[in-house]
Amino acid sequence: MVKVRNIHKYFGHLHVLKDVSLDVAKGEVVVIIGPSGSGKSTLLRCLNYLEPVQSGEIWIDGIRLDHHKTNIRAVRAEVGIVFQSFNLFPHLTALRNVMLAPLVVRKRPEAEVRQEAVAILTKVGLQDKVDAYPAQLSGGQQQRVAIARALAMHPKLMLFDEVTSALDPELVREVLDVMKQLARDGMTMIVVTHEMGFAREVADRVIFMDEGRIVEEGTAAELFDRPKNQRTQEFLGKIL
Amino acid sequence: MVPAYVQDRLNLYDAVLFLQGLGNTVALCLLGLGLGTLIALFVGLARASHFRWLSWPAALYIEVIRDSPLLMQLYLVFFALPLLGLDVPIFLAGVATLMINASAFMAEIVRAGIQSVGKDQWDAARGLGMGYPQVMRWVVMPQAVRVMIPPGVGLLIGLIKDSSVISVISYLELTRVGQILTEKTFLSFQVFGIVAGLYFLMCYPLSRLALHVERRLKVGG
Repeated sequence: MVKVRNIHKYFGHLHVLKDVSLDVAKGEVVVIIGPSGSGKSTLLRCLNYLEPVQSGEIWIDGIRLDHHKTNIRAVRAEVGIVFQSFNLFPHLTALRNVMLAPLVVRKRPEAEVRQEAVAILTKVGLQDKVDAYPAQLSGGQQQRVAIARALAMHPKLMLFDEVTSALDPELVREVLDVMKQLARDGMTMIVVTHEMGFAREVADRVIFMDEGRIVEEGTAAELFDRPKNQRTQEFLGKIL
Repeated sequence: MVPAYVQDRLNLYDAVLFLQGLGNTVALCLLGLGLGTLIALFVGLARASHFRWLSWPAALYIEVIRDSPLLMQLYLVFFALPLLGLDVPIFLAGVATLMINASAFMAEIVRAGIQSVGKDQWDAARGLGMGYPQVMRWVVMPQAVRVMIPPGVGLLIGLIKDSSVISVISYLELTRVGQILTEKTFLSFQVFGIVAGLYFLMCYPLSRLALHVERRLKVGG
C-alpha cells in the first residue's frame, strides 16, 4: 500500500528526514513514536505531498507521488489525513464539512453524499451533531468530525498526526475508540502518537524515529518491552 | 443687493436637477465601484499568490494607484489620454477613474482577507484532494469574505463621497448640481445641505446592509 524509498527532506538547511524507507501493507496499522522534532509528522505530511521531498520515491497504492499535479491530487483523494489541530472548516456545519470533498472532488450527487455523510457521522457517534458548527463542538467531537470528513472520501490509507495531543485528557478516549474501531474494520493506518496504550492495543508494528531517521521497529511488545537501541531505551524510559 | 437674474428660492426644476445629479452619481458609483471590486478580486488573488510573477506586478499596480491622488488620476484619464489620441467621454472618464481607484484599495482588502485564512485550512482542503480553485471557492473565500466586509464597505462609502471630485470635469453628478444651483440661487446653505443629505441617503443604507450581512455570516462562527 505504501512504499517509501530513501527519501530526504530539508527545511532550508535543516535536514529533517534522512534516508527514510518504509513499507506498509494493506490493512496494517503502523504507529510512529519519537521525540518532538524527530521528523515523524513531517514523514506523515510527505506521504500525501503536503510537504514535497527533495529526493527519494514515494508510492501509494501503485501511484508514484511526484511533481505531477494529477498524481498528487489522485493520491490525496485516496489518502485521508487527520491533524492535531482538527482543521475543520469553521464556516460549515459538521455535515457540510463531511460532504464537501465528495461533492466537489468526486462530484457525486448531493442526496447520496448527504445520506452517506449522516451514516459516517453516526458511526463516529455524532448523529445528534450533524447541524452543529465546529465552534459549538468539544475538541473530541471536532476531531471525530475530522475523522468522518476524511472517511467520506473512502480512503485506502488513513494518516493520523498526533490527533489526541490537543485534547483534554477526558476527551482522548472517544477519539481513540473511533480509531480502534477503524483498525478493527481493516483500515490501513499510519498513526503518529504518544498514546502508548493505543499502540500496544492496535499496532501491528511500532516505529521509533529520532533525528530524521527510523532507528528501530518491531511489534509493540518487542519495542516497548525489549528495545534494542540505546536511544529507544532512553526515550521510552522518559515517557513510560 | 442681489441682481435681478438671481432666483431667491429653489423651484421644481431645481428638484428635478437634484434627482438627475443623484441618479448620475448612483450610475457612476454602481458602474465604477462594481467593476473596480470585480477587478480587485483578481488583483487581490494575484497579490496573495505564491508566484512572484503574479504577486509583484499586482503589488506595483496597487502601490502606484494607492499613492497618487484620486484627482490626479481623474486628470490623467480625462486630460492626458486625449493627448495620446484617446478621447474619453466624460461619463466613462468618471467611471474609469473610480474603477481604477477602487480596484487598488479593494485588492489590498481582498489580499488581507485571503491571508487571514490560516495554512491549516489549506492543509485540510488539499489533504482531501481539492485543487487551488476548489480550495479558494469553497474554503478560503467564504471565510475571507467575512473579514473583507467591514473594511470593504468602509472603502465603498468613502469612494461614493469621493466621487464628488468628478464634478471638476463638469460631469453633472450630485456635487456639480450643487455648484450650479448655488451659483443660480446663492442659497449655498440649503443647496449643499440637500446635497450632503442625498449622499447620506446613499451611504447609510449601505452601512446598514453591511452590518446585517456581517451578522448573518457570523452564525456558527
